[in-house]
Amino acid sequence: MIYTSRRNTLASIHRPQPAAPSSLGESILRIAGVDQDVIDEVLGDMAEEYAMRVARVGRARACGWYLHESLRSVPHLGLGALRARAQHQPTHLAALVSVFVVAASLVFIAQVNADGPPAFLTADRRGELVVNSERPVQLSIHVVDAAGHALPSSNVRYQWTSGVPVSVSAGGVITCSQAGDATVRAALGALEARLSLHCRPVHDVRATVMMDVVVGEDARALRFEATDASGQSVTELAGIISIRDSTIATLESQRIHARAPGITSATVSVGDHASFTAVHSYQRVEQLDAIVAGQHLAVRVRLAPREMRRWSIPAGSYFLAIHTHDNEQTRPQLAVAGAVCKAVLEHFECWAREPATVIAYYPRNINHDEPLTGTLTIWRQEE
Amino acid sequence: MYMTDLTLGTLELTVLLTVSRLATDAYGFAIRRDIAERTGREHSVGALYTTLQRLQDKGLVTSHATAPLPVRGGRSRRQYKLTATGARSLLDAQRHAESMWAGMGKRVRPRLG
Repeated sequence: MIYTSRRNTLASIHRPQPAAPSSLGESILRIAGVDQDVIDEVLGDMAEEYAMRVARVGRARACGWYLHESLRSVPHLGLGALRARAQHQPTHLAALVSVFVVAASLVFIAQVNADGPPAFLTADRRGELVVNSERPVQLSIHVVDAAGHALPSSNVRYQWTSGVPVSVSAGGVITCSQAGDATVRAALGALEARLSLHCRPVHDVRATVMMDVVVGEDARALRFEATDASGQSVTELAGIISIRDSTIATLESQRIHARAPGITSATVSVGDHASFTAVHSYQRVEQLDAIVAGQHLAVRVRLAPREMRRWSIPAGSYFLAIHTHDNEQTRPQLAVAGAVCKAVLEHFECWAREPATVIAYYPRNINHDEPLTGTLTIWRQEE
Repeated sequence: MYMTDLTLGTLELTVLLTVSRLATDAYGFAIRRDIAERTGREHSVGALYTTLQRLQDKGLVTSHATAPLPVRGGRSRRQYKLTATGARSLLDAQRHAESMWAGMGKRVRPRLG
């Protein structure tokens, strides 16, 4: 053996810094049958490297390295100890072989799960990023090792390289003060990636106040518009549309699909702004005379030229509208006899003291002979 | 021409060269770091110590323990030093490599400590 014992000397010495997890490493090496003097040599070296790694990559990753290195050293050091002991104590051989089988398994597991050095920088959406916010935004990029393990990205540094002027901090906080495209370089050591920024600052988002959908019919597009500070429409958007109650309606891309009668809401969030739409979902029926408070009903309307259809409704407060397909300009006209009504956007809000009659009729100023189709929606409000 | 009859493995040669290069600063951590910086490969602490032990068994290096150091958690360092046999081994290895590489590339001459 090349190592001489210093255990009596060490016993009297206070061990201050660094606080490497030496007890863990010592346990692993001791289980593997490594001589205590060798353990002291190895752990001394590892304590020095641990302190250096703590300063460089932080305590958590340094601890990971320490554990990994302890396990990685077991086969070499353990085999050395095995050879030495087998010469003097053959009965220990089987036990030590068992220990090495376990240690080898641990080493394999540690190798498979250990993070390697950064190998790639990857960005979402192939590095194409639409920025609608007028406020500072944190860019994000993924750092992965060769095995695909995600690594911390806090050391990535960012720099504007071309395009419209965009304020970019070294840490990746950007501010899009004007519309245009820019390129930002993200770098970590020798690794780098390019981010293509599409600055489209949005100053306001407005969605339709209320929309109606019918269970069993096609989904309808949620209408909204985003505008910049000068009021011009912004079409390149990266935002979120969400539905509050998915038992009432769900999203299909930007279209709303009715699932059950009732009321819910949709929210459109773009950049720093959001807009809210009340979504009314209607149940299809043939007659309206049995409608009760809170109920949402819809009837299909098909009118030949000069034709008129009527539906009786009980006394109450109502919201009514006639809808056609999104691309149809001409629609059946709506009137309510026996009620006081006012137009609210595309709807009528009506109050009927007595039973009233809803009338759908073919517009008189339409000269062609084609039938008109649509859907009459009616929501009887709570009394 | 005198030649040692000791055959050096690749890692043994690498470690022996590093001990020679580091001279009075040749101990486990420093040797490992120097090899990693020069080759880009991090050998395990266990592999390094096993190799150093083999080199010492072959009489190519000697070692002594320093006083305990706080930076090592109160443990001492084991300093390694090239022996005359080790230096001859390096020269043999160099000659052997040079004869094989003759006319094919840049010569490598280790600096002996």
